[in-house]
Formats: sequence, structure tokens, C-alpha cells
Amino acid sequence: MRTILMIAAFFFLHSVSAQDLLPQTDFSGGFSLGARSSIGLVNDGKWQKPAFGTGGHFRLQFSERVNSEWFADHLKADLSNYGWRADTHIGWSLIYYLSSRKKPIIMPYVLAGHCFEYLKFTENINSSNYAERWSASVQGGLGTHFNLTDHFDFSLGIQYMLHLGTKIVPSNNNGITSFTNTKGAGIHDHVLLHLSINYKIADLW
Amino acid sequence: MVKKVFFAIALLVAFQGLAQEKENYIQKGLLKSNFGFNQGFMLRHKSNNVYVNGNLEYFSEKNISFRGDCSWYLDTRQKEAILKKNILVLFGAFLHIPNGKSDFSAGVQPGFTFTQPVLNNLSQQNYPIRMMPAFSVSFEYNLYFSKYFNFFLSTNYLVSRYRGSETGSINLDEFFISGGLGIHIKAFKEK
Repeated sequence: MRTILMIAAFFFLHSVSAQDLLPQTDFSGGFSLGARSSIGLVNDGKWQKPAFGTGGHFRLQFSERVNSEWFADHLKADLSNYGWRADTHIGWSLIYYLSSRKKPIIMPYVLAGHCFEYLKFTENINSSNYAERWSASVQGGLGTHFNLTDHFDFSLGIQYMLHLGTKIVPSNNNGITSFTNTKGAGIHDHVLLHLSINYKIADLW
Repeated sequence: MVKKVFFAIALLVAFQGLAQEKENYIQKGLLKSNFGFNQGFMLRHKSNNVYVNGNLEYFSEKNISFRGDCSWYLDTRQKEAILKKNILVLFGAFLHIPNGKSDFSAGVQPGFTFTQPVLNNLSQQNYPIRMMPAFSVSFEYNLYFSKYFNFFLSTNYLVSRYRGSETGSINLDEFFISGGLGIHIKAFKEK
């Protein structure tokens, strides 16, 4: 493990020192594309098993310190040993950079935004036994870009999502699995950790 | 006949290698495609799988490239297979350390697998093919031995789970060793 970390650090440092890697901060109008991997934790009264997912996003920067991220991702997780859940998010966040320092390699930020979620619970041994629902959420978090060149960065971020919508309550009694859609508004918590790679492809204004 | 073909290829490779000794092929605008085989080692199962792999890579800068990979499961070396079908589709970025004709790189690639495990003998559950999120970390060495061709050798670790088996998820993490031949062209010239 230590060897892998050393190799990764070597690659990173070599890349940083090998060329003019100091990025501009005046990226107003910058448009970038990115791919992301996500780890998610859900709390529906109690913490469920961690989810793992893949997604993509684009960023459109409004000013030197304000960026926006428009994303879609798809995560899957186990429901104990009798079912599984799939979360699909489509949303957007505003990013505010904490530092106005010129040409930073590390750019920390806070973010806040909104998203829609499509959630589906499915029984393991009978995929025709499922329940689904749409919900809306608000999210906030923090993260940082690691700007390796003027155009390329990888980013780490953590965000908390508060979902507002009906709940699906799974149960498994005596080997019989059922999913119940509750009525009225419900709340559940979602914590997401993202690793993404991004490339600025255009300067729109 | 086969010997003659191999001899002709070896001669061509050697000639191009000598003729282009001082060429620097790894630069911004390089478009590359590699083809090869993956030998996979599943970490949670006794299964050593073989895949055929292809990728397309574009160097947006000398040290940065973007790459899409597709791997197709062929078979396992064991008597009983874990997988019936498995297709890996990954997209990500690589950091490069070019040095003459050699290029060391490391990259990460989020993606999806389209996976179908074999029929479970105990429960007789017939698994459907499902799209599952995946993540790969790769380390690769390329030797650009001519103006248009390169050899590659790479290792990568794939994180993947199949959800929906009767006992929960099936851990399909796999370590790969890959090798093969690549072609490359300078797609865009630097301004």
C-alpha cells in the first residue's frame, strides 16, 4: 500500500514539476467536462450499506470565484442480503472558491445546490418485485480542485444531501421481501464522496 | 511462410526504430489506439479470466491524456467460470512521464461493467446481465518503437460489484496484466 502511494505521489509531483502547471484563476466563461466516481452513504433512520457509483458532469464558470457544476450519477448498494438499491441523481451545484490567490495548484471550495433523485429498490431473487420513486433534494459540501495544468484538474469533494420525498420502506420477514411507499413528505440523509477528473475544453466568454 | 512474415515485421520494426531514434512521438495532439489481451485475476474467486481489450487515447497535453477503454470477457482458465458475460467500459485521464521513446503513465477511469454471472448451482438463479458502476486504477508502460506503432504493458485494478445475487452482491474486483500493440498518429499540430 505504501509503495502504491509513493508511486502515485511520484507521478503527481513529476507531473506538477514537468511543465508550466500553474493555472490561471480568471476562468470566467470556462467550460469543462468531467467524469466522477462516487461513494455514498444513506441514512433512512439508520445507516445503510455504502453505495458505489459512476457519473459525469460539466462545469460552467460564471466569475473568477463562482463556478457551477451540472451532474448526473448512478450509484448502487445492497439492502442487507435480500435486495439492492439504485440511486440516480441529476442536479447542479454552485461552487464558491475560498481563495482569490492567483495561480493556485490547490483550490478549495464550498458548494451548494439542488438535485432530483430516482430511487429503485429491487429484490435479489425476484427482480419483478421492486418499488421506485422520484424525490428532490438540496445539497451542500466542500472540496478542492488539484490543478495539474491550466486545463486539467482532479477534484475531491464531500457533500451532504437532504432528500425530500416519500420513502420506500424495505422489509424482509420470514424470507418474504416487500417494499412499501409511504405517503406524505419524508426526509432522508445522503453523504457522498466524489473523486473526479476534469478538463477545460472552451472559454465561452 | 510464417517465419518470413515474422522476419519481415522484425526487420520493419528494427529499421523504423533506428530511423526514428531521435523522434519524439509523445506530444500534444497525439491520437493513439491500443489493442491487446488482459489476463485477469479475481481477488475473491478462483478465476483467472482472459479479456480482449481496445482503447482510444488523446493527448491534450504532453503529460495529460484522456482515454476510453473497452474490454470483452472471453473465457476463464479454470474449469468452472464465475462470469458468463462481462464487458468493461471505462473513461478517464492519465498522467504521463515521457522519456525518449519510453512513456510511463498512471491513470484513473470511472466506468461501467455489463455483467452476467453464471447460473448459480445451488439456487438455480439465472442472473440477468446488469449495468454496474466500476472504477479502475492503471499503471502503464509504452515503448514508441516507430513513427506509427508502440508496444504497451500495463497493470490495473478494477473495482466492481454485481448487485442482486441471492446472497447480496458478488465482489468482482479484478487485477489485470495487459499487453499488446498500439498505433498512434499526430492528429493535431501545435499552434
